[in-house]
Amino acid sequence: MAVDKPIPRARKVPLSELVSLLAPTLGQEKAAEVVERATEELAVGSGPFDRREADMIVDKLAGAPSIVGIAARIVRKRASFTDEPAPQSPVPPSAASGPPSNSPDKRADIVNLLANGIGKEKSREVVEAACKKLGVTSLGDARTVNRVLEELATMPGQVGVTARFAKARFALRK
Amino acid sequence: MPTRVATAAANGSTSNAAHAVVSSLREGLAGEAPSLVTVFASTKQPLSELMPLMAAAFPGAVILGSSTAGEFTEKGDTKDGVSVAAVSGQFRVFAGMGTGLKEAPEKAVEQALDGIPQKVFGYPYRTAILLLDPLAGNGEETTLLAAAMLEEDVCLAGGAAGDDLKMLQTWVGLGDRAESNAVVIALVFSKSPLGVGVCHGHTPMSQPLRVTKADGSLVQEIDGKPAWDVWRDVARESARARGMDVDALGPNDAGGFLLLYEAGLAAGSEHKIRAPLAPTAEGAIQFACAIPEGTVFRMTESSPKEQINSAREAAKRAHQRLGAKAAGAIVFDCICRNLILSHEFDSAVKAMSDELGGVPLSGFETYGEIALDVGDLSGFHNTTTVVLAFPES
Repeated sequence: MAVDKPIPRARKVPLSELVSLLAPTLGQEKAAEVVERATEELAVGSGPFDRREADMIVDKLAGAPSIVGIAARIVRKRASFTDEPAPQSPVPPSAASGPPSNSPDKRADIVNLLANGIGKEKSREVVEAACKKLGVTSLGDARTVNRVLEELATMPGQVGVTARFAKARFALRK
Repeated sequence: MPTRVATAAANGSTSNAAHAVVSSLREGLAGEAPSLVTVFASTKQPLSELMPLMAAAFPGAVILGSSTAGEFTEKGDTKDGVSVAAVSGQFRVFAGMGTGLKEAPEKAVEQALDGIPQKVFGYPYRTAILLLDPLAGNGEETTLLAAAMLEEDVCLAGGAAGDDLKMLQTWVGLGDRAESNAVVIALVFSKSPLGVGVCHGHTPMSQPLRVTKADGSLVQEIDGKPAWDVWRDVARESARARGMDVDALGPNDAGGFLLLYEAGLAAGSEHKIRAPLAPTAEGAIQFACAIPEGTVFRMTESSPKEQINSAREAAKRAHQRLGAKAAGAIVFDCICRNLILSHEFDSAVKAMSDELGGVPLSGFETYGEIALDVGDLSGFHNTTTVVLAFPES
């Protein structure tokens, strides 16, 4: 019997949540400063933000040099803006770790999507390079797949064009 | 196969200390081959000399090493010595080293992780142990980069090497090799989770202070004044109560003074502590990780009682996380605890061992601690105790 997968609820992300995600590394005040500056530069208002806007803000910060960028990258990797906000335990942590995720890796799917435009070998090569650059080891969830495709979409030439197309295709398949 | 954790400590020359701890570990392991050996050594037993001796004694084990600012086992504190632990049981351990940490932390972390498997069949739990050179000045960045490159379910624990408060050069080791300006990462695969607990005992003592000029991990000005002047001004009265004159600190006293009064960054209802390591001739302060301009912090301090309680609490959290009887533990403990507790430091060590059921433990006094659990977004700490407990089976 097929079991319906729960659909992640769309929710609004308040500015304070973005600040709290960065605060463990930057402190509350510096985190607020960099998030507010990013929202101004992106002209997305002061929130609450939809998931796309929240991702844009984090992605913008992740491109910043120094520790701000690294802190945002870890937020991008470990936090999710779908469903309920992740509980934050600033210091100290005490949550339990579990066994590895069982989500199937979608690497082969992405390679196949890109292969139509740039061939399988090149496709595999650019996906691996993007994963390495982003610190991605598993492509088990849609958010991570999107990040990789977005990274590829910024590349010049055929790779970027194909990735933008693949991104749309992937979104339609979800 | 039950887990066996053997610990030992020794003083003296490098070769004598190595001989003594190897004999004790072999006796404690009762014939079992260890999968992991940790070697924490003072500057009196240079890691570059000690690691080859330990690697030769335990050729089948992954040997991790760090220089220290103090060493201890469950039996107590060991200054100018070596503290070691050997762990046998149902674990698989893989490790790598990355160099050039100061210049290119991302590359160093990639280098350390290169060749480490992501999965080992039959061992579903993964815990990473990180040892790094804090004088590279990017402890938080290195920890976050490692977390970003490892999968989300991997817990991190570890410490930043010390050099007996000289603040000149710190070392980490892997196998028969020791390097400065480097990071060592080990991935421990286990059949049940290891327990990581962390806690600090510092509280804010100042009004908010803003970093107004900084370059990476070098804080030059606070509220528009030289950072070193501000630090001494704010801590003057508290330091006097401890019998310390901030205007007469010698070159060897500054590091110890700074580690008593660390920077606390507001993070929700708690404070994330950042360690100032040393003043510069220009009046700036070198930190263990980057502090961007605009960062607001409060200077913090701690009492002996808070230090003992927080050590106990860290062990308690590790034990709770373990969810089983502990066989032993590796402890990464900030040097500030020893500075604050002095001869009472053994009470903190005993408190940790008691919380874990009186098991063996080996640890060192660090210049920074690493603990990042699932869901955490920051992993480099200061003034904390980080306890990594191993399950009995």
